[in-house]
Amino acid sequence: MGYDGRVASLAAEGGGFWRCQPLYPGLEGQGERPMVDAARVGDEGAIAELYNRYFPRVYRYMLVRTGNVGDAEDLTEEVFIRVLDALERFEWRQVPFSAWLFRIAHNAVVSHQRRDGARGRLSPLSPSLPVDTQGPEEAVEARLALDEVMEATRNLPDAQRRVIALRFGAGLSVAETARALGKSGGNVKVIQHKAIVKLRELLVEKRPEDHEEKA
Amino acid sequence: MKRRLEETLEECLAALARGQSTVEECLALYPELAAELEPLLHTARRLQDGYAVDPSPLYAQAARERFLAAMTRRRQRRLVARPARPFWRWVPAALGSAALVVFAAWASVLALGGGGGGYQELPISISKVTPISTPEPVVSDVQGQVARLQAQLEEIRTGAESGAVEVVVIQQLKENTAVLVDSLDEPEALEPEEVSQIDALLADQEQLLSEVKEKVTPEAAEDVDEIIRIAGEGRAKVEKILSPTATPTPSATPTVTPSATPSETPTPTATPEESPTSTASPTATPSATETPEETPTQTPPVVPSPSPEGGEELSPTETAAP
Repeated sequence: MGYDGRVASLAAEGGGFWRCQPLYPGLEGQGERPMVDAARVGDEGAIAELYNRYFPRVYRYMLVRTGNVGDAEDLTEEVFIRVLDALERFEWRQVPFSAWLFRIAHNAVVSHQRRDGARGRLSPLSPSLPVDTQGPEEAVEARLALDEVMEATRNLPDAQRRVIALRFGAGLSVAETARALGKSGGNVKVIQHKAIVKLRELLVEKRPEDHEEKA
Repeated sequence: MKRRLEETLEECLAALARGQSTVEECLALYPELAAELEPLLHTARRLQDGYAVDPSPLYAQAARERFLAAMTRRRQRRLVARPARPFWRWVPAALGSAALVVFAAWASVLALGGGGGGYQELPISISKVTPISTPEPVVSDVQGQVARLQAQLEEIRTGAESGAVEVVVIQQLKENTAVLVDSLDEPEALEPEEVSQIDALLADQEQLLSEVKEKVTPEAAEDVDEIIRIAGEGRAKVEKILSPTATPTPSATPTVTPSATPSETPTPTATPEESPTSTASPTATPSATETPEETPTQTPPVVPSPSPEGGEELSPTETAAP
């Protein structure tokens, strides 16, 4: 079985692994086209449905890109207002809807960074930021993990950070990420690999004992 | 080898994310790469765990309400900004209403006067007839769009002079240009002056952007190209809208002139009262000479004259559009 075949067979089985909803499987095959088409012609129910579907993903993407909860919240809202204004001009022949939406998200980040004249303000995460865990101890641990990961991501070169934001924040597939970035799938995989290697180095520097145990 | 590692890493990540495989299972699939893969997969898992956060419920609720409010505002704005329809669009409705009134009057006369046999039995009474559809006093938004675009062009012009053109402005320009060009799809909703104004604006825009393109970032340059393309489409639409009036010109002038009329002119003056039919021939000759004068007067309106006044009407405050 080839690469694509193996992935396809794995994909066909379904199931959950991560604490939150699976972050990875893109939305290409989830039959959102009728919903997007309805939204394009002004069906408010469809627009609201798209909003529900993408809101947490855009939020996580913004969190990765900005490293700041306040900015992530502001920009997430800004993205959906931009989407609302541009939705009727969306065309399937150019890019999938998710790629189109995250291009808007990317543009919003770029505009924001220019306005602020910085690569992102550094600020601690909001103490009220919920993490999908049960007990308070787990919540604290998860928050620390998020802090750590975000700090490491902040040190990545921009191209790598964008790929990580789309893959791990927005949960796009490689194909969707490639379309959103205007790159090839192969290129995205290369950047992703480099980013993970770099992140590992940064995270090991931070907590070497943790990685020694795992290794 | 490296290429294979990148692809295998992605394969494992996708499988892990979908929950079809654990790190160990993935490593077992690729024993030759296991040593390299393992730390990367653990890091990736840590990333996914770290970023598995949802926005706070309070914020999510407030954001949703704001979004729904924006959607409502947008719907209302679109209703108001629907372009005014020309009067002849309402002619069918008006005729229909008039026909209804006539029919109702006729039916009442029949009912009261006892004519029309079976119709007599029907109690027809129409106390008030209101037109089915009345034109609302709606405001065309084209002027506003043109003004916005002109303001943005001005902003880009000044930005280019100072060497810093904002990407955001370019993106907004792209969106607004697309909206304006879309409005050309309904030419009957536009006044001829508005079409000319749009054409002039698009021409101005094309020229400015060609100059500015060199001074923007590569990312913005793509948008600039896109805007130039959209503007080109718009100008083609304008040409199409204005062209039907220009087509009749070529047939009029050349064929009429070589008529042999001079020799016949004395005859009609000689017998004016006897034969009225003969008077027709002299009138034909002057008309032939008049036609060449008519044709040039038809052509000028076809050429869209750029209206410089449009650009001067702008107020810089309108650039604040998000």
